[in-house]
Amino acid sequence: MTESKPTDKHTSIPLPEGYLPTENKVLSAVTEIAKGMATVISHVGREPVTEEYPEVMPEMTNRFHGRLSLLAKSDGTDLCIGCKACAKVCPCDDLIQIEMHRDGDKKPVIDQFTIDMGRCIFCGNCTEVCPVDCIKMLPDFELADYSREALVLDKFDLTLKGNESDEWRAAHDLVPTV
Amino acid sequence: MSESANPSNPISSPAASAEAPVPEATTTPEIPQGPLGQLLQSKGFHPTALGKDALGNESMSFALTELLGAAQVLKDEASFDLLLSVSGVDMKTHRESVAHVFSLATNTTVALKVQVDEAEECPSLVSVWPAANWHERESYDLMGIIYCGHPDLRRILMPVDWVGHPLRKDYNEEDPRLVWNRR
Amino acid sequence: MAIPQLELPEKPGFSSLQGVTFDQGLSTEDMVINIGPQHPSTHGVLRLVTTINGEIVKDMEPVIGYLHRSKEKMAEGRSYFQYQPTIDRVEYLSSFFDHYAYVTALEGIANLKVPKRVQYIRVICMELNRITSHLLWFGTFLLDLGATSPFFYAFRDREAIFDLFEELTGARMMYNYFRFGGVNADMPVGWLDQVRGVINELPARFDEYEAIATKNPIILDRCLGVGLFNLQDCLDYGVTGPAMRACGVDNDLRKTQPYSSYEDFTFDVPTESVGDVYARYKVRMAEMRESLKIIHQALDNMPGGDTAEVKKIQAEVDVVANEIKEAQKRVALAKKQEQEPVAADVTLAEKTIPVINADWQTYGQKVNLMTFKPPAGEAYSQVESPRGLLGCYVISDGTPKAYRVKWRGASFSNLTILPSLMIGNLYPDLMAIFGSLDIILPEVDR
Ligand code: SF4
Ligand code: SF4
Repeated sequence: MTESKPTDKHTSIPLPEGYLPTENKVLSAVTEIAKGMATVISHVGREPVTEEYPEVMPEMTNRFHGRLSLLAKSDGTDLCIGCKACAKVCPCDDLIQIEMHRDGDKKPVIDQFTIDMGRCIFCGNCTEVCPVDCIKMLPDFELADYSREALVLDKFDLTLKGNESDEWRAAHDLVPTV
Repeated sequence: MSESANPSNPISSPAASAEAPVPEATTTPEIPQGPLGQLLQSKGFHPTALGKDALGNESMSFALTELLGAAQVLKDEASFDLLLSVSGVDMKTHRESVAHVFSLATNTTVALKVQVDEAEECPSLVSVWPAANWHERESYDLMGIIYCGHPDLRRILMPVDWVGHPLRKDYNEEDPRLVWNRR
Repeated sequence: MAIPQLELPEKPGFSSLQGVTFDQGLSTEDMVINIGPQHPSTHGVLRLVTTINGEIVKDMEPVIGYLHRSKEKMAEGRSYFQYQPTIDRVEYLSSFFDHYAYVTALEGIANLKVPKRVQYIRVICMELNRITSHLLWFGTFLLDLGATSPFFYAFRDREAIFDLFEELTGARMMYNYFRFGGVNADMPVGWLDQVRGVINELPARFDEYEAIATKNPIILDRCLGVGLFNLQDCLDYGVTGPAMRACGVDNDLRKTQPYSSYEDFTFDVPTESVGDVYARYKVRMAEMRESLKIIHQALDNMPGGDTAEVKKIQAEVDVVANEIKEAQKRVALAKKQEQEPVAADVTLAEKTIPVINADWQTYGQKVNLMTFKPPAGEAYSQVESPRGLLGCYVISDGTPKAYRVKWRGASFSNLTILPSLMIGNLYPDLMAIFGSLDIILPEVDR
């Protein structure tokens, strides 16, 4: 083939490799469309990639950023020391609110701990700075509710039981805190 | 949108201004001119060398009157042909317009700074690099720097009827339009 | 009766209709139509105020700002770490790049070292992210041109990569994974093999895409010679990235200013010479294959190898280090009680505490994220994002909060060329031209 590359009729821009000159363009076009259709049709027999979500719950990964929760000690008592580090690094202003006082032995007692899940952006900043690995994320993503108020979770909603906390720690290679 | 205390001004705090490469015309006579600064000096301009930024990009500042001429020299003789961005910076006492320009031939970036006081107007770079058009509109919109010679200086990101320039440090954040999402 | 002649505006070099005369039997009037802000093919909220005469665009003005979320102002009211998650939302299709630009700027200011392993992890993340971003562009671009199936295929493959990201960072799109001087956490055990499994599949998938689209006569008719511009136009409008490389320039920061260990990898920078929609299509398709090359090399040469090995060695080192520390304690205790320490303890205590290879760690020097306070200074960092040069200009004044953060989004500059491409062209070409520029609106508006 000594002639120059076939070009588009109007624009004199080279056509892609393997294309016949303009007069025989129809032949190339039909071949290419047939090739494309064959690819599409070859998908018919393939395994579906979609998930039957509400019936089959997907397996979430270990690091999944889902609903926040407060882990407890193995015996079920509070692990949080009320340092408010999580509230400080949260990008969404006053989303985490903590009320605490210290009892007779200067031990922290958490009176109230609320997280507004409706405004949380699930970034994971709070889980990263917690010094005692208390605030963590669960693989739970079904958070829809009927009102904004219902999404403000308090300490009771957030805190996990002792054995659940231990399970979480075992799955994430953390040493249980007693 | 709520903001706590503004960061302190890098210029008014003595500790910061000692080592800060943040511009201050009077405290930086020791910094030697980079190759581009020397080129400009040989053409009769008087750039103030500001050294290199933390990632090695040369930066220099100009008097308002010299900016356009120097930019043209950089474009013609040092092949700085691609304008990356124009950023407005509020220094409280004045504002700064920082243009970052890139050279495809030498793969270097240079920062050109000018100080713009409240009453002054900054010369627009559109005549040198047409790409500055939207970037200067953005800087005008958010920082309130007026670019004279700009073909179409209007707000670009904020609505046309917006009041004030939001990136200024003294911007009124008690605007009722900003607080609707408070808990 | 005089037949009205349509006047084409003077725009040499842009209009593919130059020289074509329109004898129109009907007299037409200019009409203004608003495309968007909620138009499905604007990929976000862009409004194009368009004046058309018949099918010819006579004037076009993009109106942006509908998605302005004041990202730059937010930086000034938050600490550096607190601001970081919001960066994901600047450019949500390839947010690893924005994070990279931000953390390198601060690593420059605070002079933090980044271990080799982290650099390689970042390269894998960014290149995978480039593929997902180009895949989404491929799907939506062809959807705009009327092809529906490629959209689903592209999303299927994108989803496989998102599963990898979810395994690594916990999120599909909003990663928040890079940290100043490191990454959030090391890779999960076996992640490298998972990546290998996914990317081994991809070349066959890309072949399928190309079989469907690359030489399809309809695609050719709509793309060849449409939306032409050259290098000078790129410079005049600040167009960068694949759109610029489709004009014959092989400028790629990964080659010319290698960051994050890109100098270790061999890859090509795909270019095309024509500068039309089709050239941009081909550049992006070729870039995805080059990204695969880079990922393969990074997987094979990952310093320390899989996390399981690093953990094993770390455990061995820990045992020895603990023994030495215990011995030192015993010696100190003995000295305090003015007794003669056991000789074996003394020799053990004099040994240096072993540490794992510095290249294998996930942090060069761990900064306290709560109190991270870089010295005063400024940095302009650049990344070759899937859409072009992404810049982040950070000014620090020595406080825990940024004094100023400025984003230079590639889409913001790339969008400016759109009116000149459209004026004098056919209105139906808008979807092809706009799609080929690969604009993403959150990055334009920030
Ligand atoms: S995940 Fe992020 S947004 Fe949500 S509470 Fe934690 S820090 Fe705040
Ligand atoms: S960072 Fe952890 S310990 Fe501190 S207040 Fe938050 S949950 Fe409690």
